[in-house]
Amino acid sequence: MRHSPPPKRKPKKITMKPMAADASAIAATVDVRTPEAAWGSLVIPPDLRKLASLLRRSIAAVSSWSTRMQHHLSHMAQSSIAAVRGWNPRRWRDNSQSTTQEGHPRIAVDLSPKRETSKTMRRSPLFLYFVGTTLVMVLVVTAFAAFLFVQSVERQSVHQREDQSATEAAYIAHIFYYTVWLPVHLEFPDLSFGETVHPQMMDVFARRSTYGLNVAKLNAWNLDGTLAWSSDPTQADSRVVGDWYDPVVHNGTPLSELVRDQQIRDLDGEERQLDVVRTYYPFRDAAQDTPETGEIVGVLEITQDVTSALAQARSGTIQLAIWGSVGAGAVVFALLFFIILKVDRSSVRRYESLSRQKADLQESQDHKVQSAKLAGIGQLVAGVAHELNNPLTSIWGLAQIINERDARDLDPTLKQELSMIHQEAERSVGIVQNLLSFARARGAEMAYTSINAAIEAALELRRYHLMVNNIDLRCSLQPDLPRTMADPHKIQQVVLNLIVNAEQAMLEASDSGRLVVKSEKVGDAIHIVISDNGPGIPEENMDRIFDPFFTSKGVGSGTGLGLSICYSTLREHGGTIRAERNREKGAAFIVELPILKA
Amino acid sequence: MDSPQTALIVDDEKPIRYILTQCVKKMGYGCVEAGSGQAALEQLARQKFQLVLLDVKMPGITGFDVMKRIRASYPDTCVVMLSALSNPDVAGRAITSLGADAFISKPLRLDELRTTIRRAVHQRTTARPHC
Repeated sequence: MRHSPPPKRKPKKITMKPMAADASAIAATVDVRTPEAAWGSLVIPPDLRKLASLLRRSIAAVSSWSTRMQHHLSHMAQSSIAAVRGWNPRRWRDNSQSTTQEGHPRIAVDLSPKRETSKTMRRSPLFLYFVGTTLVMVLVVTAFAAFLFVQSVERQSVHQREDQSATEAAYIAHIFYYTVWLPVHLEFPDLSFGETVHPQMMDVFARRSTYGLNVAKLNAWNLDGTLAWSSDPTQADSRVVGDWYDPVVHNGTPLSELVRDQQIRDLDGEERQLDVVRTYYPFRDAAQDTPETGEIVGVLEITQDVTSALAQARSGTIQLAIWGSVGAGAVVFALLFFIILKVDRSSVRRYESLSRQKADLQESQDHKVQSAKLAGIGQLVAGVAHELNNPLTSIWGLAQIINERDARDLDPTLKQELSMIHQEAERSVGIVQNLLSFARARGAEMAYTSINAAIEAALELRRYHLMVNNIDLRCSLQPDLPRTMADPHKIQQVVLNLIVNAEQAMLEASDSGRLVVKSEKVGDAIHIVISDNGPGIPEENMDRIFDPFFTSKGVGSGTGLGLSICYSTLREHGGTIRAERNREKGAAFIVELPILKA
Repeated sequence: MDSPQTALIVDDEKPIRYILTQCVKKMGYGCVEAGSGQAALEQLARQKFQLVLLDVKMPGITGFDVMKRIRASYPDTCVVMLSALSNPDVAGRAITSLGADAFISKPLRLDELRTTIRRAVHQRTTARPHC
C-alpha cells in the first residue's frame, strides 16, 4: 500500500568494506526496530519486515562467527609457523611484515623446504697422513732389510772365501810337497821340517809356486811352535801366536780365518794394509793325494790378500742391496699406496652416497612435511568453508528472494542496498567455492594428454580479457611437443592461474604489458614458460610465493591459494614449478612436466 | 494435475527452510516444513507429498536415511537432495544408489533450484517406476 510520502529521513549510506569487519555495520543501517521512523510513513509489508529481520540476524551471526574464525585461523597459522621455525610467536607477531597496510593480520605459512648446503668434500687429511706414514715405514723397513742383507751376504762370502782359501792352501801344500819337501827328502830323508825349509828354496817357492793365489805372506811353523821360515824377514814373533795350534796340529784340520786390516809385509817387501785370509795348514809327510796317511810334520801358514776381492764383492753386494731395496720398497709402497687410495676412495664414495641419501631423504621429508601441512591446512579450510556454506546459502538465498520481489514493494534505495548485499553474498560464495576447490582431495584424473591443447584452452578462456586489457600475447608452442600422462583440466587450471597472475601484475604497474607463453621439450621433460614484463617478484617473496594464503595483494583481493594449488598439482604430476626473475623486467614461471608414456 | 501439489521441505536450518519454502511456493506447491529427519518422517506418514526437498547433513536421522525410507514407502515422490558437501562422490551416491531424482549443492541459486525441481518432477511423472 502506498501513502503520499512525507519528508523522510535518508537512511545512512553504506560504504562497502570487506565483509567480515563491517557486516555488522550493514546490519545496523537496516534498522527495523522502529519501522515507521526508518521508512517514513511507508507501511512495511509484514513479510518484508520478517525477511529483513531474518536477514539481519543471519548477517550478524555470520559476521561474528567469521571474525572469530579469522582470529582463530590466524592464531593457529602463527603458532604452526612458530613450531615449524622454532620461533617465538610473540616475536613473529612483532615483525612488521606480519600485517598488511590496512592492519589486517597477514597469514603467511612458510613451508618452503629448508635444505642445508652440503659441505664440499675435501681431500681427506687422513689419506695424506696414511700415505706419508707408509712411505716412511717402507723406507725404514727396506733400509734395514738392505742392511741385514748386506751383512748376511758378507758373512756368507767370508765363509766362502775361507773355504776357498783352505782349498787353495791344500794346493799350495801340494806344490810345497812336490817342489820343496820331496826333492830334499829324497836326498836327505832324515831332515826335519825346520831344516827342510831352506830359505832360498822357500823364497822361490813362495814367489813362483803360489802365483795367482794372491799370497801375501807365508810362514812355516815347526811342531814345537817355533817359526821355521817366514817370507817376511822382519817377522817379529818367532813363537806361535794364536790359538790355532791345538786344533790344527792335534785334529789335523786346516783352519782359515779372515782378518781385516792387517799390517802385512808382502812378498815384494812392501808394507801394506790388507784384508787377509790366513790359513793354517797341517803339512803331512805323505803323498798329497792321500794326505790322511801321513804324519804331521809342520804347519804352513798361508796369508792371502783378499782385499780387492772382498771390496768388489762388497760393492757388488751393496749395489744389489740398494737396487733391490729400492725396487722392493717401490713395489711395496706402490701396493700399499693403491690399497690406501682404494680404501680412501671407497670411503669417500660411501660418504658421498650417504650425504646424497641424506639430502634425498631431507628433500622427500620436506616435501612430505609440506604435503602434510598443505593437507592439514586443506582440512582446516574445508572445515571453515563447509561451516560458512550454510549461513552463506541463507544470506544469498534471502538476497535472491528479495531481489526477485516486485520492484514496487521496495524503496529504491533499499532495493539498491539489498542488491549490494546480494553482490557481496555472491562474492562470498565465490570465495568459499575457491576454498573448497583448494581443500578438495580429488586426485588427478590422468590421461594421455597434449599439453599444448591444455595451454591453448587456457589461452582461449583469457584471450578476450588479454585483448581488452591491452596485453600483447606472444605464444610459441613447440609444434611436435610429445604427449604425456597428465590431468588436462588441472594443467589448464595451472596455466590459467599463471596467466591471470601475470595479467594482474602487469596491470598493477602500467596499463599494458607483454605476456610470453612458451612450450618446449627439454630433455625428458616438457617445459611451459609463462613470462611477463610486469614489476617482477620481490627478492624477499621468492621463497614464499608457493605457500598457501601468501599474497602480496591486500586482504580481500584473492585468497593467496592460486600458486599453492599450482604447486600441489605439479607435485601430483611428478613435476615442478618455479619462479624466476626475468633479465630485463618481470617474472617468469617455469613449469616442468615429466614425459610419461600411457 | 488437478490434485493440490504439496512439497515437504526438510532442512535443519530455519533460514534455508524459509528460502526453499518461498521458492517452491512460487512454483505452485503447498509447503510443509520439517526441521529434522524425524519430523520429516512424521510428516510423510501424515500426508502424501509430490515433492520432497531433502538436506543431506542433518543431526540425528540423516538425509540419506530419510531418502531410503521414502523410496521404500513412497515410490512416487520426487526427491531432490541438497547438500553443503559439494563432493561429487556424495552426489553420485545419492542419485544412483538411493534413487534420488536430483541433487543440488549449496549455496543454492534459486533459478538453478527451480530448473532442477521442474526437471526432476517431470522425470518422475513421465518415467516408469524405477526398480
